[in-house]
Amino acid sequence: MDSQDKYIRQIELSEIGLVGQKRLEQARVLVVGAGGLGCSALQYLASTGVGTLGIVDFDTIAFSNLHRQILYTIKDVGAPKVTVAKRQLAQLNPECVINTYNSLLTSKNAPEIIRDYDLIIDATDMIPARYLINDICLELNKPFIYGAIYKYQGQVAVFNYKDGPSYRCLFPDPPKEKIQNCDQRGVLPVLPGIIGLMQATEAIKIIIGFGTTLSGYVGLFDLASMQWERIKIKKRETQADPHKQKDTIRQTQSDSHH
Amino acid sequence: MIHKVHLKYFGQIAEFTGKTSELLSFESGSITQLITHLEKNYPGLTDQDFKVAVDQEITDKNKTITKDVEIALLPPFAGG
Repeated sequence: MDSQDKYIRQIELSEIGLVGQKRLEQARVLVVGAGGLGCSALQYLASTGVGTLGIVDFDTIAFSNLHRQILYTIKDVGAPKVTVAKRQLAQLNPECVINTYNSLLTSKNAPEIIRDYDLIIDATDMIPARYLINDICLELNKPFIYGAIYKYQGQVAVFNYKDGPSYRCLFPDPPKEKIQNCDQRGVLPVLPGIIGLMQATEAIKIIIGFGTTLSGYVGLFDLASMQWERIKIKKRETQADPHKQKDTIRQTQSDSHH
Repeated sequence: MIHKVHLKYFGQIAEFTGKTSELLSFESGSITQLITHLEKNYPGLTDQDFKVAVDQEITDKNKTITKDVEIALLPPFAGG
């Protein structure tokens, strides 16, 4: 059995074919955050045949993570997320090269980590990290795929792709008050599963180059009503100068460590 | 001129208002005026962080509502 056999059912799709499969094999995708969104996206990125995956997470696995962070099992509690994620993904697809970064993404390490990848998946649960990813991606001209959830709702978008809008075009500045995350607000496990898969889908489309991406839109999904809508976002004129905003966001980022 | 406004609340805003949507009639005015009007029912709403989308498009709050519209209040999400 060679790898072509493994991917035969997706190679059969005319939009993918052998050319698309080769693009997947050559692609380098960085997933920041190996929680609910990250575990979901990573599994399918690996199984679809993305050649190189990077995983950034500083956290260890908690018992209360297991219901939604489905790369991890009960015997993994207490272990670093990136180590276990790498082991599980290697079983799923041994051909996938997996780089792990067992640390918080900071203004110091972000440029050198992000530089090595073609596209970034923002699967974090921290708003300062999101602004950091956004600003570094702007600087380095990398697209990033945003996903975030709140109770039964999810947001997903493709930012900084082909000169499209960035996260700051949607939310120019970090919120005044802290927005609560899953640990504080609760979450139904299927929601990060769905939104993470939407992020993986957008990554695969960008890598292969088919379909229409969410660039220029933020997608909103509501699990409770099963409604989906796309909200159009315009590019901000001030986006051209991310350097102006850098100091502010780096301050915000370093604040979050304390 | 009275316009029908279909309001949709997302994330923490839905929690703040206690509902995910509502219909109301609104005389011509800006989005800011509409939000000030909503503030009467939901004190503190104007201090919340959110963007406004009019008919599925993020819109400046100075813009005037000139027809029946769907307006979404969209806060940032932090969960992952």
